[in-house]
Amino acid sequence: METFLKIDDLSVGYWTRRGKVGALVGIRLEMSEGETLGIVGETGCGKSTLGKAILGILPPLTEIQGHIFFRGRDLPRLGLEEYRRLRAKEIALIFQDPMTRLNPLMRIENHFVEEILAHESVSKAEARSRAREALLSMGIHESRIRNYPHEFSGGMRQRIMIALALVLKPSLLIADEPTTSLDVIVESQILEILQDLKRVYHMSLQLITHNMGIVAEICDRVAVLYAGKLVELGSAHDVFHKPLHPYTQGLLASIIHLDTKELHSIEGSPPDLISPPSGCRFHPRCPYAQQICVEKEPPLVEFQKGHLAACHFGDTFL
Amino acid sequence: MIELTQSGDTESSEILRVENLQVHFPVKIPLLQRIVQREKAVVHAVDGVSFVLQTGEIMGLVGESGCGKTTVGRAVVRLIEPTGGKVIFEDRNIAKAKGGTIRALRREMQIIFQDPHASLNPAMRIGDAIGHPLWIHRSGSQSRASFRREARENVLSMMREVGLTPEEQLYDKYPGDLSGGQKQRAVIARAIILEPKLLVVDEGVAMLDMSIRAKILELMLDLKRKHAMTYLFITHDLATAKFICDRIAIMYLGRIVEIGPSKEIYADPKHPYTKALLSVIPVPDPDKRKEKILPRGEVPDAVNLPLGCRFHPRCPAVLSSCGWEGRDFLDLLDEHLSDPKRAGADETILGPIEDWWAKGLVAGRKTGPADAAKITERIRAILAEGPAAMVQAVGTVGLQGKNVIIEFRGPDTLAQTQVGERIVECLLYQN
Amino acid sequence: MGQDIQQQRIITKILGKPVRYVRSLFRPLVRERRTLPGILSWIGLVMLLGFIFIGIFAPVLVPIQQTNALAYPILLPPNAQHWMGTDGIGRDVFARVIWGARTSLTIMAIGALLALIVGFPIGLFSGYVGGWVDRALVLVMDSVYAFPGLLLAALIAAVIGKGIFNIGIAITVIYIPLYFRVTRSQTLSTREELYVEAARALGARSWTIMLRYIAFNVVIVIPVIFSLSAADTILTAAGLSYLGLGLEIDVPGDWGRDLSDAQKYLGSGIWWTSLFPGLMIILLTIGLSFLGEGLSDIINPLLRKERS
Repeated sequence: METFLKIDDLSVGYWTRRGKVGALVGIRLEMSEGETLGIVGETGCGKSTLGKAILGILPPLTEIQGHIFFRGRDLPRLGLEEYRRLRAKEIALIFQDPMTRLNPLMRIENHFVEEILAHESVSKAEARSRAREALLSMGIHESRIRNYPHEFSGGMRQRIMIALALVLKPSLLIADEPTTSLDVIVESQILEILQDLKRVYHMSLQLITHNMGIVAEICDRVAVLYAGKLVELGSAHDVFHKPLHPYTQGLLASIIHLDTKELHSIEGSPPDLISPPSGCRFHPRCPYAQQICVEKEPPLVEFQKGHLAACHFGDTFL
Repeated sequence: MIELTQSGDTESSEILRVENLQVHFPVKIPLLQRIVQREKAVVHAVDGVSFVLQTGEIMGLVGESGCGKTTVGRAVVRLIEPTGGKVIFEDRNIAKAKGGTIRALRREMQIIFQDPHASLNPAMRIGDAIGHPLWIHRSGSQSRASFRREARENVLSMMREVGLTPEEQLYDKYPGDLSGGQKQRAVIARAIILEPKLLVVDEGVAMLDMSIRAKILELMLDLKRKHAMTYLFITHDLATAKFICDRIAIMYLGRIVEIGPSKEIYADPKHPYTKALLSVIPVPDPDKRKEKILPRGEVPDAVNLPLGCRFHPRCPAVLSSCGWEGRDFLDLLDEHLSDPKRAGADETILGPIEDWWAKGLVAGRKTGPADAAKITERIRAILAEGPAAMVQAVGTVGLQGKNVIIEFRGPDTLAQTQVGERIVECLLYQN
Repeated sequence: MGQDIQQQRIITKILGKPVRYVRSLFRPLVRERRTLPGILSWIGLVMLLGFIFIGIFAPVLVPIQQTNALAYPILLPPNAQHWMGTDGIGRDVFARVIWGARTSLTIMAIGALLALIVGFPIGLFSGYVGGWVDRALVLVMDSVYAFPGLLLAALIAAVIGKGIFNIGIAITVIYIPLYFRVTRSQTLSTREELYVEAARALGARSWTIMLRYIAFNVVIVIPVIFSLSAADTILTAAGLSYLGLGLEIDVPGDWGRDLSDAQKYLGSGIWWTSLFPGLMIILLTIGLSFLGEGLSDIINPLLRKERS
């Protein structure tokens, strides 16, 4: 059986005025059908780039190397038209700011009708009734279906975005910080909706976020990115209970939750991706760094079944 | 008249008292509409907020976006003028103070905004930015040159204190050259260089990465101890608030619904909204899933406020006396009609939702006498789908003139109730 | 010794701001030198510098006597001695063209600078203060703007008389609204920045906020409108001279008037008296437009980037 999604040695780089930024370097990652994978890391670690690379919406002139196999097809090598048909229909994306994808001059209903008609040959009436159904499933009522985007609150807009992303029943949903701009209660509501959807449609979900709390809540597996590299990958249980990479340990320790007794943080700040540190990219901030960390780049090693980390001393944390 | 000189009364440890603070913003409506509709629509951003800050304490002002917490902060430091109520800072009411008085007040109260990047002038060097308050509040007696030397020394020591090192190098940098954490440190340094007594921190760490948040919080706690400052800490994050606040005020739609010592509120929240807020904080452990109390729907807009308790349409513990009104029935009807499975033939009997109106306690639609009985019967059936408290609140359902109407009984008066050391605004705790 | 260092420090202090401003303008130019806007601006800059060089060193390049009437035989076609020939009253066209650069640049400098000196502060003030003051100023500026530029300049020139400085003033009046508008709109958006509110929270006075927090973030758009309006200035000045409302007759070089004088010979196949002054007008205008367009492409994305 072919893998649902297989990212093989993916590197993404783009040029800035100061030089080449290695936004992602040698990412290897697999996702199976129906799974929820959390992609976590700090600002600028490349997590959003990963989502955009899968959907093929990176800015022009971005250098992409490696493969992204989605149901056997190598995405970066797809033709433009083929890629267009794949988007929304099979892979959909929800952004952090819903206003960026909703056209302010278009009624909510028409967003749906347009999207359905772009991908399927159905009648307009059929498209409209499906729009209604999708919106209702997100708790948007009949009376508001013909409103404009600005007439909705942030949380409502995000629900509309989700409904829009799901109206074609994609098999993979990539959610890039879907709740970051929302309040805690609305965030919880959205997370609940996402979980329901997973159950009902057996959809795969890739959740890109910096919030470890919501990862713990809904993800099956977690991938931790640091400075463009995958540093740890494993089941949510393993990663949260037995983090093998010092960066993951630091991230987990710095979460402030209701039982926090003492504040922790990671020293320093993420490196400049134009000239990243030698060896392990985390070594300047790592409390356990040794000479080898400066000299040699640690490979991603499977320390336990299904639990990988890129640290020379991963086994000491087992 | 507002006295600017220090009042002699130092006995009282109360530094700030906010009494019945109101901030209303006019709603922007198109000119044509403004002519047609005479009533002025206002956003009730803050609508009767009272609290007291004791010297040296950290009070958290917690709530969702749009609850008015930021507006309270801005009104306290007088970046905006309150519509009503008092802001008493060190025994003088500054709610209506003007230009010069307000400027002088800035020495004693400062505010830190959420976005450190946007808070710094991109064309000003970090050192100049931190030292600028000194220049703004300079009194004329000293010579410029000696003042410049002193200010520079002062800035450098401030930079050391907030951890902006190496300070000599960073002094000449521009904000664009600094990381997010460093920028927030610079903003903090600028705010406290005049040694204010009160510091309003508006979401001071929300924009920062998790890994450096703790560092900034620790810095704030440190500085507070060292300089004997008082903080008003505005945040949406109850977990952070728990860690650093002595007292907490929970805000919802322009009002404080619960206020009291952190310990008490976190251990045993009383208001249903506080309970909901606490229940949704994620636990960073995939094996522990806690029971969540999710209020229905979303925060209503602050122009047409719900009747009675503002939280009643969403409240999981709602009573029949909480403020049910015509609009609430319309919401229920809309929900019912939107769902084809539930609606069945109701749309033909009840008509489209657009035909219905709601005014105060009453909701209804025009109808011929023939349909009235059928409609009344369906209305009762639909009401049964709603919250039990809502059904209990219904007064009459029936024909009135040419309209079928549903009229609710009015709400009980809501009052602030002392429960232990805290004050709650909820009918559940009123006798 | 110690005093020297002290003086040095004071000088850097005084010059620091402008020097840094100029440097901050050049940095993007250097960085963007391989992109189209970068190349355009460099071409424009080089052309402009060429003209400035010619203008400054005109007296060294060609003796002023060659621009006098009846210095040579009339209407000689271009030859080894007179590269661009001579005109209808026996002046060397090449010499006229060279001295014309001096004249044009002077008018340009006076016009654009005056417009900047007047338009920028008014725009800043109007945008920051807002309210009815702003509305009134916008109304005044808009009505000036709506008036056809050349006509307005001609009107003013006719009233205040000929001469380089007067032409400069006449042109200034047309371009003040342009500086005003751009400065005002930039001020309006800068005024809403959080750092401006932060400055208010620090207790800064309006003047301090305007000068230290807004002006320096607004001034970045000035080079763009300066280059663009300067190109226009040249055309307007030439237009005025062409209409006979421009400079005195004894100015040693005036492209617009020369062009105007030359047209009566065009019918008899005498092309050189009109081609060269016309070409100079086009070249200088193109150079300035390149610089202006290039700079606006470079600087605007920078502005956007700083916002995000």
